[in-house]
Amino acid sequence: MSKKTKTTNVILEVVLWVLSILIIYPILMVVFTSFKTKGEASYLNISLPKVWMFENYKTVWEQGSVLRSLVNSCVITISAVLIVILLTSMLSYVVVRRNTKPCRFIYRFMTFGIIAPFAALPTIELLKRLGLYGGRLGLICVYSALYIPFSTMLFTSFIKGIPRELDEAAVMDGAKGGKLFALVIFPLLKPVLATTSVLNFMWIWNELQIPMYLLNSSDKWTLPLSVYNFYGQYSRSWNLVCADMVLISIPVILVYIFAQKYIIAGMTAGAVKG
Amino acid sequence: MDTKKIYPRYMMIIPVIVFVIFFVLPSTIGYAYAFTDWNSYVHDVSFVGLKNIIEVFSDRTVPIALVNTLIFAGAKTIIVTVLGFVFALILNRQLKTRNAIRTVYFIPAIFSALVVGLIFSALFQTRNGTINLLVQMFGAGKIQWLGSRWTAVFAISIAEIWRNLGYAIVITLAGLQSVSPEYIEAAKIDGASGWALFKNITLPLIMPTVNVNILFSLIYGLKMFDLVYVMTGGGPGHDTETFGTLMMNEMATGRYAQSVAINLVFTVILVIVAVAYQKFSERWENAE
Repeated sequence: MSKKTKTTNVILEVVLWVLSILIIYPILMVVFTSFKTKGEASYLNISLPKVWMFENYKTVWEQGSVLRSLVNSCVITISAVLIVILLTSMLSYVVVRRNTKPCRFIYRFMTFGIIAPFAALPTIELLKRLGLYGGRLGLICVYSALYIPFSTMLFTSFIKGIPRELDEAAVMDGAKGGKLFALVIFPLLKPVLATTSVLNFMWIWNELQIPMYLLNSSDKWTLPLSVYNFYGQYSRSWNLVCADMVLISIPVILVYIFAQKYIIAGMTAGAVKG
Repeated sequence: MDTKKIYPRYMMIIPVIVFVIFFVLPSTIGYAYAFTDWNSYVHDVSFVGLKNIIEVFSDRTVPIALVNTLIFAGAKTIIVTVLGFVFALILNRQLKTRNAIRTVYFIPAIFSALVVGLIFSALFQTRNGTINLLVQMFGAGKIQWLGSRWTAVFAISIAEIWRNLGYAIVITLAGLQSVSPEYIEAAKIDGASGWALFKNITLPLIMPTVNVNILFSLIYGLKMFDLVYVMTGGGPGHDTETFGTLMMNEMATGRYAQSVAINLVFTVILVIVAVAYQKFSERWENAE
């Protein structure tokens, strides 16, 4: 590297770090505000709290019924993610390996699912007729269907890279159908399983619109719904609202810290091969 | 070998059934409700033909929602794509803290749109909001950002860009890194450098990545709901309504059939935009 390039790189690096204030400042504001008194919090700045009000979190935990929503969010998100990855891995595998005209049609048909918006009221009506409206199971079913298309894209492009000879060898040994898939193929899908699980987890966890339409009582609310409602009631208490925001973000932040490479791998695969 | 036995049909049919029941059915025949008088007071629903669709096109708020939706999606797509490109080009250089910078810039993308909406409601608050403090430092008066249409559209767009820039950077950077160094070397040997190298080698090679980036940005931008709903609820009046919030607000007032009609028109618009963009970008790539 020439000296000039090195200098340019250092300057650019400094510029990027200075600009990152635009990202860090709002986040620090939320974190510090969450520990302030109501009066101090109303200034919405990034000064350190004069007194650290840890009890804000206790108040939010109780008033915002965080525990109940946390359980709901976990149950709904984890079930939906498991169903999505199980269904899409099977589907993508058979579609790729059979590669017939109907299979290619199914794949194209799925991409429609990425484009079309959520048909809110018709879905509510459908769930009512199936006796699933308002509950967690109905929401899980709808999530499963909505998130199948994107995951199918990721799975099919990954499975295309697994040599067919592997299947053939396994068939020689007497494995086929579900057994072949479960014992031979599924373990090979680990990287793409990690990516789709993490991405779907983040997206479903953060979803506000769909639970807003499909859940009818507060005891089934997910975390984003509970925060939205909490904000409605306590919009003048920024300290509490910020504490609530921190609480609901902790799970996704943990996922980001531990699974960052899968998120980035997924975004990349989806974009380059999609 | 008998592929039908090795790759059994049920493994394909179960997922397709789930997809069809819970997504395709409501998104197709479910739209029949757009042609009825369904609302919160009527129990027997009857067909009224195109009445609701005509109402959608003659309604005063629908054009507002259409314009807002297009502005949100367009502004976000253009700015995020351009900025994402610039940042990705910088990050593609041999920077010492590249991974740390990438990690920081992606953070906003992991938050719920609800959280981002609340953060920006705070930043754009009239009293004590950071943005107004900055505005006052430059000697201007306080602005009620979320209190009138264009300032609110601006504020929401900033929030949307803040949340999505990380995606664009990561995807474009991945595209840049997949460009084989051999192409660059070969072009350098042929005497290409700087702008010519970028325009003739790098740009065409990462165009497919950028295109997918743009397409996703457009689709999710058009579907925007959470941020608007949290920051303004579609108000003041109906001034910042998008298709997403309008559907919700129509439903909340019990106008179910109208809500479905808007949903239907919205679906048609999205499909047209997505298909048109794909055709356009294919032609563009072939022309290169």
